[in-house]
Amino acid sequence: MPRLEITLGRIALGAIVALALAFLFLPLVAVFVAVPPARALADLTSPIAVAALGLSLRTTFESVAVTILFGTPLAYWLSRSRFRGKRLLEAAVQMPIVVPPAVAGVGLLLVFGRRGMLGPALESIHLGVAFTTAAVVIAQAFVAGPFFIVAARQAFDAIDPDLVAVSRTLGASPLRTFVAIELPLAAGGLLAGAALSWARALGEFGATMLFAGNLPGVTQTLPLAIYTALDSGLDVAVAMAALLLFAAFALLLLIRLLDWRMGREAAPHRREETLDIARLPISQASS
Amino acid sequence: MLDCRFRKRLPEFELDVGFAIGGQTLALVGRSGAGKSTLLNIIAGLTRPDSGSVSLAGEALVHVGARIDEPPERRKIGYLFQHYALFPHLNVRDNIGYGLFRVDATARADRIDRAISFLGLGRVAQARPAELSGGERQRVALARALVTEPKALLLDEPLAALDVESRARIRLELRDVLARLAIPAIVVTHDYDDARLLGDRIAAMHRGRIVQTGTADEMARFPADDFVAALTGTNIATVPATDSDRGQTIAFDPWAATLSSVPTAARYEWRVEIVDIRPLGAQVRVVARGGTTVRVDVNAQDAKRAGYAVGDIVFASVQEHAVRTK
Repeated sequence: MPRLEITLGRIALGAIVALALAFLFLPLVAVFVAVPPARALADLTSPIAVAALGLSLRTTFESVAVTILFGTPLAYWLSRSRFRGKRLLEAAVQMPIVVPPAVAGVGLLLVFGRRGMLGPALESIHLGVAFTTAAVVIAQAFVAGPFFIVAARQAFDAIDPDLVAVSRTLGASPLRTFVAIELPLAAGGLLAGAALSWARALGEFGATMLFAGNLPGVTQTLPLAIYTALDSGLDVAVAMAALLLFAAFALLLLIRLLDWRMGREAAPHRREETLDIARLPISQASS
Repeated sequence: MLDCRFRKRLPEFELDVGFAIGGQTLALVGRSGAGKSTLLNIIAGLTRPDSGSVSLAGEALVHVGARIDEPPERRKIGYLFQHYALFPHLNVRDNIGYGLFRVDATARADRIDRAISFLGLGRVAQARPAELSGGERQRVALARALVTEPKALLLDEPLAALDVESRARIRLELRDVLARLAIPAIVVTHDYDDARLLGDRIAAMHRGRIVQTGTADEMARFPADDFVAALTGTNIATVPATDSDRGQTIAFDPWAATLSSVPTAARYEWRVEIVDIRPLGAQVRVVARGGTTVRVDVNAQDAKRAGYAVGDIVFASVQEHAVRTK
């Protein structure tokens, strides 16, 4: 009798696992098999797809660059400083990860829009951003930046404080110590964070739609182009979707590889403190 | 000359020290949590004292009253960390040369080469720290600190991270290096044997204070208190005043004392309870308490015959000629 129960239990578990996996993978597989590769390639050379791909590459490159430039010092400061209310600030920094993209879009409009808090001032010095390519970059940096900041902060946290201390006693200033010791040791985590942030920026849809609009060649990135192409026919949309999926997969592989390498290089007694990608909020990586 | 006089409030007690050392090694010994590492961090400039000063060769490194506080990179003090803190992304050569960024390439290579041969690291010069043994790591860390020609050297538990087999050999190597350096050096350790071997002088530290300094012989001859007595393995005991005699404090060696199950007529005798029996070659060291702590070495055979066990009440005594007074 117990044996039968165990068997039935196994069958039930197996069925649930299979169903769950099918649910997770089928839509992704469908994107790849819906259109034959040759036709998909042809569809990607349509003017609208080429323009969207170019714009996506350009804007995500810029938004990730801005994120690294501003996010690295911020992450370093979060890792090294101690003050009251730090936890609250950290939670606030991570807010864009959980905020619905539509809310992010409205918020950005309220600040940078033509009638927003900073809009008129920016317009008066000809830096108005609403419905320009710059707005796309701002939207991407806002929603994707925290992914980098969280990863970078973890990477700086994982550095043995003795290494920093010994560098100072060897005559190195704090700046030299940062460049020669802390930055190289955090590099793997920073790169993984940048890849994660790039994946999120590449998939950005909601905030871009609300804040930057959907103008072909100006603000129409790949996800927006997919949405638009669905009206005229499924094939071009599917081809672009397959391309995005491929990019996302490549980035995931890169992140895993970096994670594995960092785990191997970390000093044995600090191993448990290396960047744990599994703990990063990847869940909202597409909108 | 390294001159240290400062105070620093710690969670459980105040670190309060004052000492000076010339071109010799001071072994700072005490239990973990006695404030030893904080003391090193204050000298190196990694922690700030609440008051007082540290000066090296007549120049103030930190002086709270005079608002002087040199950052660690300008103090010229080598610091060897307990886990050696080698840079994992640099090979042995680059680790050693790390502090020489102001020196031009040829002189730099030359100084690294000399440090590598001084500490016998030629075989592993291109290896990464993860590939080194504990002893090699320690020598790389030492070479890295020494190439910058520091004016003083701090070593935090330099032997604690080593396995038992290599420990004794590396301890002698380290003693040799320290003797050749002839700069003020402080070795922090919780192991009295390490302190005895590495230090020209020993300072015993307890709850933030240096309770006694001296050579190993001086410390063993007359320990300042029961804490130092426990470290050095000597006995210090207070003899209460009697009609014919004023009370006094005496010191004696464990091998000069005897144990008995019944009271004897000895002048110096204590009724004590056995708390530990430790094998020591052909002898056992019996540690017993009763007002004072006494350590008595007993022939292992005799101890077995007498059937001494932890918890027994016994009588420890020492002959008058074996007793040292101040």
